[in-house]
Amino acid sequence: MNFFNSIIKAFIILISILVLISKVEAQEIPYGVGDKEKLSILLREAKIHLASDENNLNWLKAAGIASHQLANMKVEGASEDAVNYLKKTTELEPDNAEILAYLGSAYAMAGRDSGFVVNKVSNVNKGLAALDKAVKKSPGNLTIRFIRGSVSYTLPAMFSRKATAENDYLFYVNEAKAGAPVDPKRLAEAYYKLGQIAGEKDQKTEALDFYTQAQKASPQSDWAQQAGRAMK
Amino acid sequence: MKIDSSAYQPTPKDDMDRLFPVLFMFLSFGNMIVCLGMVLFLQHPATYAICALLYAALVATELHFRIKSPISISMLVLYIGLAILDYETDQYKGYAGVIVFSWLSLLTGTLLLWEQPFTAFYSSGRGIKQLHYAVSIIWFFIYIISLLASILLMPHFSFLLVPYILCISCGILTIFLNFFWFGKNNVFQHEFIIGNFRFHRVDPTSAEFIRFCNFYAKHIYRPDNDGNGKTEHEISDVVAKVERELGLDSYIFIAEHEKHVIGCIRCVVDRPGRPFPLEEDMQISFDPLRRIGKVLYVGRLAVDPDYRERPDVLNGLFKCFVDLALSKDVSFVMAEGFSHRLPTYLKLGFEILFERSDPRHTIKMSHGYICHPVYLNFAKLIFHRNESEQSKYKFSIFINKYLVERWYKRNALLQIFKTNKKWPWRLSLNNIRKIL
Repeated sequence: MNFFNSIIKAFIILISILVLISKVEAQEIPYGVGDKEKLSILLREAKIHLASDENNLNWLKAAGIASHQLANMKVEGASEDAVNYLKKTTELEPDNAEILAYLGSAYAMAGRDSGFVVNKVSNVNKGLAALDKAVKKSPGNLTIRFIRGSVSYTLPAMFSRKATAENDYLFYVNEAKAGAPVDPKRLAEAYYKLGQIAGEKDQKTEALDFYTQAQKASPQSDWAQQAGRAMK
Repeated sequence: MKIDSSAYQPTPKDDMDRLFPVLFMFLSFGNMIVCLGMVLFLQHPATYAICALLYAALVATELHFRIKSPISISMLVLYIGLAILDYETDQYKGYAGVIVFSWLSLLTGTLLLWEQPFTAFYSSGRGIKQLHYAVSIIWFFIYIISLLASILLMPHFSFLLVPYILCISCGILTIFLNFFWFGKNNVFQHEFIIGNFRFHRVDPTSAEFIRFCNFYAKHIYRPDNDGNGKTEHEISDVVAKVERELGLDSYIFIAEHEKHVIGCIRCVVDRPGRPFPLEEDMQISFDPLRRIGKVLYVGRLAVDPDYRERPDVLNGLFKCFVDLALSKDVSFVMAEGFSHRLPTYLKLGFEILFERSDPRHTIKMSHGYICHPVYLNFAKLIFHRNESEQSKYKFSIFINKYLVERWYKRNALLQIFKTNKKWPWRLSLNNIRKIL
């Protein structure tokens, strides 16, 4: 009977592993992945690999980006994990500006999640420094500009980053207009936030124009709907 | 110069009403530090509401004791405003320090311009003016620097730390100025001049010490009294021997006029485990009294007969022992006096310790003469001091005002958590007799 049970258990474990393997492509870097379950599975897988090979660059990237995306969804402890993995990744690959930008964003989220204000401010400052460095390294990289714009946009006024957010989003939409391939949802987000910034500056005509562009860029997205509400 | 403390008999509640407010300023600073810490370092949604509640409690307590502090009241309003603002918008997140320091700089600065240092509100205008001004000016500058640091260092995290550390340091400095030291002019003076008379401390190892011994022996020597067979010279030797044994615990003061000794007094500070000579002579212990407050022993009081009608001499000698008692946080003063000197002690506010029928009323001292122990509830003298009585007897002119205030604050802090039965100033002569 015990032997029979052991066989069943082994079979279940085998099936579980096969399911995992089928769901997660090994060393997949989950840029833009928004599925929480998939990200969690990938992170777990990455952790298993990193336990035996802690300097594996691809698994570090996978773990870092997955943690970053989870932190974006406000999963507890994810921002701290993201900082740790991405920090190590940038040490191993110092010229990768995109990873540096993700690290900056992860720091900003770690700041958001800190309970102690000194840690909050300190993490945000580290994040902004990393983001600025990433933009300096690769000024034309749209992902980097979008990440810096998003981080800068959400920060409180005391960090004086609204102008940076505006510049980065303008750069993003202008590049898109010039034909650069961009994610329509991100484009809608950039237009909506530009509309909000213009609204804060009492530039009503410009704001309305940006909201219209947001609706055009991705009509079914949340950003388009928010733009529609803002226009009323 | 006698202090009339018998006319006014305050209740323990009256005492409480006097005792608590002395510490309100520090309570207010403590509250400010706690609230600032919460606002600067814990951005919890309930932070401002908690701060408003803390200030509401502080203001209510202050009003209960008839204190209306513009700082506490305005901070209560400010924190209510910040709580509402925080609920309404995130726009001002991180600017709480700037708002608080702006308001505090403006308020303390305006009050200073109106010659109303903010600390004076906590003591209903009483206390040393210079100390009020010094503390208020220091805080005003700290608030200004904190405001500048909050603005200029933002968004580096030091914009939070620097102002907070400055405020804590200023709080410590305020405590130091109020409880320990406030300039060279406000420490216990070993030498001073009143009128034409110079008063100064005499070291037992100095040449002046012999002058003191000889002067004292000369003025207590009465060959046809008490059956004391000692000569004037022998009495001087006995006095010198006893005083040298006391060493630096003995504070001998002499009054001089044109370089002649015209008066003297000696005080012995309380020493743990070492009884006063009076205790040995009386064969009793003052330890039960020491458990309630510090004891000072005064003796060797003598004034040249030609100067006894000169108030400055007695005032100066009185100042010597009062300032010493204040600087040592003394609560009770014990002394012994010859029967013909008792009126002088009574004039200074002392009371005869034991009834005349009590055998302890009469003691034979080491110099061979008969003396009578007298007692002064020094804590009562200071704690229940009445401004009009003081001015009547010129009390406030001669004593060190800072030392009085410091004594008061230190005692308030020490006694505030004790039951009123253990407050030294509430002990009557009968209580003391029972204790001893």
